[in-house]
Amino acid sequence: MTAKRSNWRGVTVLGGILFLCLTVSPASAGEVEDRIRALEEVQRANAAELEKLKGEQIELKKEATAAAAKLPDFTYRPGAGLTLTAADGSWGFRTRIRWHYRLMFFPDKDGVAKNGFSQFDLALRRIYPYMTFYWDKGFYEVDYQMNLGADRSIIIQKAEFKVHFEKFNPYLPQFTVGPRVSGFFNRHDTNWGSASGGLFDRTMFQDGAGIGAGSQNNAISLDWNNVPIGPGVMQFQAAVSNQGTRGEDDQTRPNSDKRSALISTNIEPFSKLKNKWIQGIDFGFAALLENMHPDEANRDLFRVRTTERQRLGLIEVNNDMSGFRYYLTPGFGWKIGPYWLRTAGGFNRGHVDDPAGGREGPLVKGSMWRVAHELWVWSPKGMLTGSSRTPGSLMLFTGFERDDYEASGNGTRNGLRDCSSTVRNGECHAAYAWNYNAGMWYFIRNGLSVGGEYGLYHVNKIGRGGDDISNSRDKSGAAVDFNTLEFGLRVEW
Amino acid sequence: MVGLDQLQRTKRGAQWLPSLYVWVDMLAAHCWLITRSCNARSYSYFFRARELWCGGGVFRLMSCAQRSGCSSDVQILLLAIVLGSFLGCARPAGLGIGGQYNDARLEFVGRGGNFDKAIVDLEYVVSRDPFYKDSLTFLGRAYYKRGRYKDAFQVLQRALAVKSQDEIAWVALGLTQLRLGDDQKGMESLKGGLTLLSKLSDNGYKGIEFWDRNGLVRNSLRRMAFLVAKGPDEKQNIIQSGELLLASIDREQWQGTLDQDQDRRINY
Repeated sequence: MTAKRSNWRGVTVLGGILFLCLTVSPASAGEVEDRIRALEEVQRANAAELEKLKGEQIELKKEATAAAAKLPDFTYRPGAGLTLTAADGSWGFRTRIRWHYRLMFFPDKDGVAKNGFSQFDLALRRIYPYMTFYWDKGFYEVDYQMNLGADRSIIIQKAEFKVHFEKFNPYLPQFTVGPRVSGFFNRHDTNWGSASGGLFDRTMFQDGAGIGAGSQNNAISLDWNNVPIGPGVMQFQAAVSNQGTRGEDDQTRPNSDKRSALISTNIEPFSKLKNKWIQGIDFGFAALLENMHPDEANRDLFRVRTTERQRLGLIEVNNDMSGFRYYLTPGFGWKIGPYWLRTAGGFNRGHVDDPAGGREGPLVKGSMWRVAHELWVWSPKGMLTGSSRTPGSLMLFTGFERDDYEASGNGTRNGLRDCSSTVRNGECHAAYAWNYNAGMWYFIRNGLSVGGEYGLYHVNKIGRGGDDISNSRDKSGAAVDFNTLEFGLRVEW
Repeated sequence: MVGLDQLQRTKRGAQWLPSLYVWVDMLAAHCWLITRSCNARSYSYFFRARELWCGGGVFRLMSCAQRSGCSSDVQILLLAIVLGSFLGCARPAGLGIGGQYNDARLEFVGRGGNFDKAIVDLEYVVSRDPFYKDSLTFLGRAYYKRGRYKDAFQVLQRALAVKSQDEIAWVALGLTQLRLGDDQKGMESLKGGLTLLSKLSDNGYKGIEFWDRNGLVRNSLRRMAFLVAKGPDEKQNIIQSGELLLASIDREQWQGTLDQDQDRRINY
């Protein structure tokens, strides 16, 4: 009985399930189809949206790339400063700074502390901040350089507007105009300071002649730079200025009908040749024809003075320059591997004011020659290698300079100043001085260097500087020798 | 020009020709000044117009003024417009093959250079003097920039025929070959170019006393050498890296030239 009942139950359940299946199945299949269709719809919609989003994403990427491409470039180059340039080069801005600080000693009996020369003097040589503004990939340029002096004053060292016509054609010049225009003399004369060579400073002769940094006041200049000539290149400058190199105080309102001219050239005749013996030869020449108003201040341009500290006057002509003088300078250099020979001459000629009140006084003749040697002794690349841009480079250098001045003319007042112990002015008519330097620079990194320089000075009849050295007048006109020791720290950011 | 000379000898010709010269010179000068914004075809047209007229244009203007041919107010006004345009223009187009070459070179500096214009400039330079500096290499690179790889390939081969040690041409040729699908030869060209570049890329390279002050070219060169050593599997990266390397060299050369110009002035 129990088995029969179980069978009936099973048959009943099976029948129920079958019934349910038969009744429910048609309805479920329809729903599945609907759901499938619905899902397909969603999938299509999603796919479309996905495509749209992908498209938008690509557009966004393109926009981002385009926007990034339009962003200006920031470039820092050690020793050459920071440059900000528009992506298309339509404008640009650069800033950099040059800094030279020093520590000085006078380690000899003629220049000791009791005579007014202190030791261990920390002093500023120069701080030059630069700003340059460009348009059109450097076709137009405004260059501005300040000189932050040791007395914490700020003066304009360079200020010039340039049009680079040489980009228009390599044989066309660069046109420059401005209140302080760069003047090129030759590569081994004025263009020879601590930034471009071993010696700590320019020549005593040049510094005394007021050539200084070579800037020309209120000037117009045409410059041909790197003009190809055969296997070499040439540089040429022709400038006309308002007041020569003087008159910084009268920059904005000059009142002088005097004009000065500067013509200079430097030639590297074999610079494109691969021959190492002649590739590094260069020579140059410059002529500054300076014409200054008799009322102009600072016309004491016939003198020799050191570049240390208070600029010790070694030789000085008694009277100021009268109206016109010319300064000529030839130069020659030979660079071979790690060695560089540099020589330069200088001729400073002109008349002084006439003590008798006439138009022009006696003639003054000054001359100079200088020779220097620089040798890269060591760098991480090995012996006799190195450069100012290679960290760890060591340079040794020596230099010699000889200066002569002759102030002719009759009468005791026309000679050299203070070069006689008995008659204050004008008794002697000729004097000479020389100076020997030797030292080294170590380049810690690109743009940062430390060094030391020893200097031996001699003057056969010292002028005004005799007072400074002895702190009394008993040295005037005497032969004097003294030593200097200087340490330098240079930064070029 | 014989016809013009004969015409000038007649009374009417003598009266009108100077004015005609002024007008045409003025038109040519304007064309010359606006060339920077022209497309390649119009640039080419204007350039020829300039070439035709500007060569003697200045002298004609001067002689015209001397002979009082420009004495009327209108003509003086026109002359003033021409000269004023010159002074006020953004930047005149290059003069002669040196100027055209310089103009074209500047298009490679920075991003978004006008390579159509560079092609026109360089084609002119190459047509006059195919040995002028590295004009062939730059022309090949300009074609490459515009996606004209077959033209680039042909011109770069010519550049290497002229100067087989042109490392930039080797690199550009290698990239072009990769773009054209010739991977094997492309890799060989690149290896040759990179070997030359690694030897030369030092102070004094491209006339720049202190080459690659910030080391960007060296870094690009190292990365490129690394990718090339991995082989053609890195083709896309090699192309990208090679283009970056060439761009960094162009930029360095431009910046280095600016540096030298300023360094020269700083020192005096």
